Amino acid sequence: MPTVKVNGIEVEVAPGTNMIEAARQAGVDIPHYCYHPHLPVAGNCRMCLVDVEAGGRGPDIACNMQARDGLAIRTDTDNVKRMRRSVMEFLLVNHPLDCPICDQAGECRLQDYYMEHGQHHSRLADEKITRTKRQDIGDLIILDADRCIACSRCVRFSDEVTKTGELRLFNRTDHTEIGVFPGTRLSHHYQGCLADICPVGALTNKDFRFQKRSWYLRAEPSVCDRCATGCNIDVDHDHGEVFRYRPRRNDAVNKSWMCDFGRLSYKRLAAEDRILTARGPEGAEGVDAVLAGLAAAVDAAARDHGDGSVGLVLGTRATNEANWAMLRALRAAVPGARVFLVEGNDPDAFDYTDDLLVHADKNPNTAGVRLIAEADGAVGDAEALRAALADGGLRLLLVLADDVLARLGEVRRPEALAFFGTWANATSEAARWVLPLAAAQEVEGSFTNFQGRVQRLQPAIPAAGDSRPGQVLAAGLARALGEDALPAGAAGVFHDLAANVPAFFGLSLAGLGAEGALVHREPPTEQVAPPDTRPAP
Amino acid sequence: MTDQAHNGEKVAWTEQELAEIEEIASRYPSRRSAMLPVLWMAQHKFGWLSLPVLELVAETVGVPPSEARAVASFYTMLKKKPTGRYVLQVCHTLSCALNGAEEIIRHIESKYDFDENGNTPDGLFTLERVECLASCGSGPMMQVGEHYYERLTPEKVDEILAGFESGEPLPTPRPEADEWQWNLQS
Repeated sequence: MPTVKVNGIEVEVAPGTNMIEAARQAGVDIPHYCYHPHLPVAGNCRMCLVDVEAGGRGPDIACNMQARDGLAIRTDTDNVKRMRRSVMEFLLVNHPLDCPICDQAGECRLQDYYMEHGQHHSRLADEKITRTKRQDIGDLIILDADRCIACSRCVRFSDEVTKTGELRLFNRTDHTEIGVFPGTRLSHHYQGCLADICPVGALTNKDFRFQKRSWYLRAEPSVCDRCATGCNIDVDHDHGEVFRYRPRRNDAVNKSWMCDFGRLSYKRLAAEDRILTARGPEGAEGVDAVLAGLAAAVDAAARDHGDGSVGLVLGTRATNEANWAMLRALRAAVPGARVFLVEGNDPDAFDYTDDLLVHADKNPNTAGVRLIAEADGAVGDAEALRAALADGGLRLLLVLADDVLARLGEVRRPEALAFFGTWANATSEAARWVLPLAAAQEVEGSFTNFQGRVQRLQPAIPAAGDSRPGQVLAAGLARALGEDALPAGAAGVFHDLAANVPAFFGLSLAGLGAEGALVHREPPTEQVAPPDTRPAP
Repeated sequence: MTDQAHNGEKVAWTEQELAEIEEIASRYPSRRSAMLPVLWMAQHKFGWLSLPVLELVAETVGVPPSEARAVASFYTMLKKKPTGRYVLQVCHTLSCALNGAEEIIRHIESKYDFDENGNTPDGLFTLERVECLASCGSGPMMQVGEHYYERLTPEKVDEILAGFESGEPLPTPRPEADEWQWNLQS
């Protein structure tokens, strides 16, 4: 492991680390435009020029300088300040300075670095070279070539990540202009990433343009719920309204990227088809009243027709906590209740899959529910459910989150159906009791992605309408069934889950961290007690 | 993709050209390295590199069309606009300039009605000012096709252009130039 010095601070870094990352580890920020941790190094913006104190010759660019023993750089010399100032001056020569009408304002590297390193008076005597503004080059992207500083991040993204190669720098020198082949448009489903990585206002997101000044937004870390990959996201919100999702860096899952389907799915939070109130046989009622009615029906069915007449379908679209809490609640009150897991995609899933990020399974928690089902040991599949429905023995079926009726297709329906879900669908239409389930970005909890990585959800905005987290609805149902001992908090439910599902042994919700934690592939033979991170009562 | 045709015709290579392209591509470890020679071939064949021609070249060397355009737009010798049948490239760098290049250029300009792209309306001539063509001892000079016309005077220019107007074919390059090219390829 090479040891390098940055401004006199010694730091040991992994072999192959470049000096921008090494400096970051030493707590020193080196300004840069073209460098991106998930793209090949281009070295064209020259903003990361540093002085080399020992172990090489300088000045040189930090992005293309690999850490090696004895290398010492300085970023705090007058020479470095002068170089940064000169680079800024060149980058701004032809820049239109249209910040007041530019959507990048507030999160623009040109603005940021100008304030930190530029602050010069224009010495430009000639007319500025102008390029084409407002080019509609894709479903999600507007290109303003005037603002481009030719860093080529978008070119490298199109070449190396999506491998579609639509974007290129045309012409030469100060006439260089970013663009697509005339008459063509971006065709891939990661267009939003182009706006993310553009350090200036050249590529902006059509969906977000002029909706909000970025400095009014607050970001909450969460996880995308549109497929089994579980891309890490920042939920940008203001006053309870979500304005956009942006990928949050997680090198083990989505690097710095996310697909456009997931990115635009923030609209689902305020969609028309959200289930916002509880509904019973008599129409809209309070959540508690509907839960009480459902509990009475569960009791009656179990009493009159035996435990096996009550069933629960776990939800691949619901959190680990919602699933575990529902399973616990029902098993506590009706020990012989039948439990099922019906895998498949709902009709509202988007129809696209690739080998970059978009998984064929469009449910965020199939892996987690499988592990819970495995630990329970008595969970039937779609065939078992079909059979149970066909013989009429299953009278009352509780369904969590998934559009199970749509997934089953033609099937004999149970006498009575209860649906705990976030969006209206065929199952909610057919249900006698409908309970509003809060969306993933509104709750505390976790999803387990297809890799077996348990990733934490934190509420960015309050739950819409009367909707509540799954574990809260489950605890309410348990109470109505006379079971008071079950936890309703996400951390408590996770603690209970981690104590009972071997693959989760030793994990805690707070301990998942920003990057999640893998479940045990080979469950430990002895139980590892999870750390108790619950707040003191 | 663009649906436009090049000069009203669909663009395509002949069998023989395709074989030549394969030969060119075989010289490089990566097929995309054949980009410049194939662009050059395309310019010879089609006269200039319209969007459909660039798309054909990109397809031929296996890159996105944007890359063919990016490369073509970098080089001034690759024509992105239609040119006349005879491209008059008059050197205006130091030696030629001192020996009267501007006078030659003004003389040519006065003979025809060139548009903003430097083309005559009949599509016969294109006038270009170019940088040094390494014929400094014999300026002023111009290149037409791959042939050098040296020690130009207005009278000599009139004579040359009259020949072209009467339908004289593009002169072949000087023999030594041929040999030089041959050496490069072998």
